[in-house]
Amino acid sequence: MHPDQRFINYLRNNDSQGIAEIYRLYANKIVRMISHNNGNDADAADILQEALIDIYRLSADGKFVLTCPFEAFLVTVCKRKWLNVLKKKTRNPVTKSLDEGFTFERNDETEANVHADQLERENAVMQVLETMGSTCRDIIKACMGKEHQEKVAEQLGLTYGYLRKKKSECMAQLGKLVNAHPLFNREQ
Amino acid sequence: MDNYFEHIQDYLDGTLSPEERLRFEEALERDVDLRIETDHQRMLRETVAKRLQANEGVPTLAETLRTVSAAHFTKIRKRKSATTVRWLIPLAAAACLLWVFTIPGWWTTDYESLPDMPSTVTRGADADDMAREAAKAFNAKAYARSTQLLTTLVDADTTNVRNRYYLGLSYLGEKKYQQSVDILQPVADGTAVYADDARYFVAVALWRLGKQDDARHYATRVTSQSDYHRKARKLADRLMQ
Repeated sequence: MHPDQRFINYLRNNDSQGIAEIYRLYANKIVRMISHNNGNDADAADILQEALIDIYRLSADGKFVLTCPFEAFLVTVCKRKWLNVLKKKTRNPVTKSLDEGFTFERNDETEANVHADQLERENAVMQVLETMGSTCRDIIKACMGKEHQEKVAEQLGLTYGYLRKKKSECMAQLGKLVNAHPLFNREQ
Repeated sequence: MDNYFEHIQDYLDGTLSPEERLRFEEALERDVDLRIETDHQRMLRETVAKRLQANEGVPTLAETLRTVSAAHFTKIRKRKSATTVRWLIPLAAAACLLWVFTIPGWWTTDYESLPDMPSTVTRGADADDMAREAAKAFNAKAYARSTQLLTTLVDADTTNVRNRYYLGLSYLGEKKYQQSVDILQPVADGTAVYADDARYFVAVALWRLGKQDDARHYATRVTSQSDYHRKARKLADRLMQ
């Protein structure tokens, strides 16, 4: 575990002083990166906020272990997000290297990319889930909670047998859709 | 294996009897595909469960981030402005005040900002003229007029998704949110190229109608392919509060 895991904990604990420290240490670097690449302060503020919420989502269950400096991970997430924005805005998105001004150890960069890949894959799973029909979506979401399945069936007005069958169909469908997603397809 | 997926789910749910569990684990040892699928399903379940749990904390965190971000960037702005030439200060202050009071949406995301309607040809000479006139009215924010023209165009050709999309936006421009939803919802639920963007505007209209859950549903379905993805995410976060 990297000592910078404390930044992850600040987000998980909604620690406003710790979060202020994140801004104090890293916000200006993100602003510089984005404003040198067709963006402005407001874009940087948005991207930074989205990145921090994504990192929180990734680490919310307390199992995520940071294995590189927080800066390397945060910069990687912000960089990918800003590249996505630029891709949609223009055909020739990057005017200067987004890496300008950042020097990370190669190993740290690799680890940061591994974390960012995991984050993007999890985002993709949730995006795919949201595109599914409402019946499957509701069943999957309800079944992934802490409630007992029989209780879930009752809440959804279904028999336990039907819920069990439908859940496995829906999970199978989710599995297929996720496998077809470019982020997962690439691995196979 | 019969009921392949049911067995995987039961195994992951821990609802198999000890004998069934043993049989399943033996099958896992032998069958690589079953093992891969089981691992994949385990990953999906853990991700969905984790993310759903995380969503509960997002509104509170988002609020803290907004507060910290506002404080941080205000400090930066102040520091920058301190270096400005002295005689510019009163002028800049006046300009800022003008901005603040004349453009109320400056400090916040303008969710209802509409895109320009491209003035491209559609079908038939008369329809072309009318489509051009509709685009002109729409881009001039004369939404009552663009609604009237686009309604005629949609009535004449119900298969033209582009006209239906811009008619929905035109209603939104008029703040006729229910009409906007009625027109945009089928587009948003469909597969046309406008579907993704339509989901965002349906979410905005539903939000304005006070249908928070429905609005959030559409906002979260806007994919990263859409230009409105970031705004939709923001709206969804806001609706979770």
